[in-house]
Amino acid sequence: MTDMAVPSRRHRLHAWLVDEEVTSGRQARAQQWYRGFRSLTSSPVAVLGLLIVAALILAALFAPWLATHDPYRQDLTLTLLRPSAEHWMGTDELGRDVWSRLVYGARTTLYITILVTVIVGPIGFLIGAVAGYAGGWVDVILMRVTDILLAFPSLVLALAFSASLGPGIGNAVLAIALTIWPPVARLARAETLTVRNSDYVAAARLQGASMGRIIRRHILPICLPSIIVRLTLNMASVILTAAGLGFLGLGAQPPIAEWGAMAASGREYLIDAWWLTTFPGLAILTVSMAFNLLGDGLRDVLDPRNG
Amino acid sequence: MIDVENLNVFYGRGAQRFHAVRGVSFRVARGETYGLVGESGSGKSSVLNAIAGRHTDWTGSVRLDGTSVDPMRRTTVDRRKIQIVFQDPYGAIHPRHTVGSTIAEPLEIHGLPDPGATVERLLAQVCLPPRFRWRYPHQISGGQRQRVSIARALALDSPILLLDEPTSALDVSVQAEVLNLLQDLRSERGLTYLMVTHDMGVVGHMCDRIGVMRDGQIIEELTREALIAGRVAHPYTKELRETALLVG
Repeated sequence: MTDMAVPSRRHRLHAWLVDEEVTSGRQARAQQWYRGFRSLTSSPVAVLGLLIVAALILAALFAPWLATHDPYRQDLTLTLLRPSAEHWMGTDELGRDVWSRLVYGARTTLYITILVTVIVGPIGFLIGAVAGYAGGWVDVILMRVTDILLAFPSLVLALAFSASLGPGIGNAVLAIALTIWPPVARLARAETLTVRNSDYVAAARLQGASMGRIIRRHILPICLPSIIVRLTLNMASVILTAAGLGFLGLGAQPPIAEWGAMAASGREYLIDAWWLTTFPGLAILTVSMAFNLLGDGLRDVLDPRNG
Repeated sequence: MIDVENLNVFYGRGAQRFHAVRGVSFRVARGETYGLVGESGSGKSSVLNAIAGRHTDWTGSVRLDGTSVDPMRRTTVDRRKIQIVFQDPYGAIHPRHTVGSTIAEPLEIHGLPDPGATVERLLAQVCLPPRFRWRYPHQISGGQRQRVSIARALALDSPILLLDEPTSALDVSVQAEVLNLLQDLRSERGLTYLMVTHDMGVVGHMCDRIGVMRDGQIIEELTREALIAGRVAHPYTKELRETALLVG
């Protein structure tokens, strides 16, 4: 009771973040973020997803420190060793340490997912928002192109693209991005249609706002939450597609550590050396599940109807 | 100030084409408040949307402050003459913009200097404290939102405001406040109002002259004095007036 007189820094920060009397734009934005963070962390499943994704990012960032061995150094005297204190997840057919390769593989995985997301988000949003806002012929043309790409299963399409572009991570990213933007565009178009006739968009139009300004200032903030959720949920399928392409030899090329390729090369030794396929498989499973959980959590937080 | 002649408004195409407003003409003098009344579906909002430039499928002549406007193309000059206050204070303000950026938007679009100071001045004019600048719409009440909407409409110093049932979505106590605010602003700034409403009480409070609309036509025009005294010619106007008296 008596120690309430001197509020700590922590309490002052909390008070600043929940105060009704907002005094600056920075505080207003910080409060929005804080409310979102609070409601995200109130769901244990979303927190689990967030933690695993954070672990993935940390693993990718600190790979040289986390890895116990050089992931590329081959030693033919140490092939196919069982998991032990020296090699936590055993060694592969060329005597490379599986744990170290798994940690470095996190970099490849993260690189692919981030790059695909950064390419797909803006393209999908722009195509969908322009189609939805402009309507008419623009809408028909853009949406038919989207429909054509949607009609193919994404892995098959990615296979076709990377087969024609040639194997490699860069081309795998391009191939996956080409197959993943159509659902994002559809989503952006649907959201745009719900707000294009709203009074606030009409108000902006009557003030003389250009289409670019309306899309950027009015439609983007409405579409952004569902696009973020969609992209987060998509990351799981990006990882799986990347792993699939790697497995088929069209993604990352040896000796780059990539989970799908690791699982593929371990397939020949499945009976004798289970650890070669199991650990990369578990990593793919855990990370794609974590992105799904995080996406679900974000959907609850970012729903515009929650205010 | 507003000069509408033989206005026809259409919706839809081909066989579905609907002739919503049929040959409406009226004039609103500078500084006057003109009320369009009628039940829903009478075409009063269509007239408003055509004048505002929100709906483009119309024929006839609309002159604002002496110059006529093209249905399909509005110039920057046309846009600065006229602003609209919407009926629903919840739908009229972007849910993810702060009050300040909502009011500053027209200033930014037209590249006016120092939006920050103008926003504070506009907030003061609609009797909101300056700290409201940083609030989001979900943190303020319906009446306060409608004030924000009015402040935004004032931002470009437009001489004409179109009021689309500006109080019908508000509580009765808040309605009076907003109407008084609009009255004060009109006399301070010499604004011209064109107001659409179905509420005869609001009409009696606000409007100098009234056009009664039914089935897309103005069936009677009368002054406020005539309305209050009951000197109405058309039986439909009489009916509207009497229902309002019974309710109010």
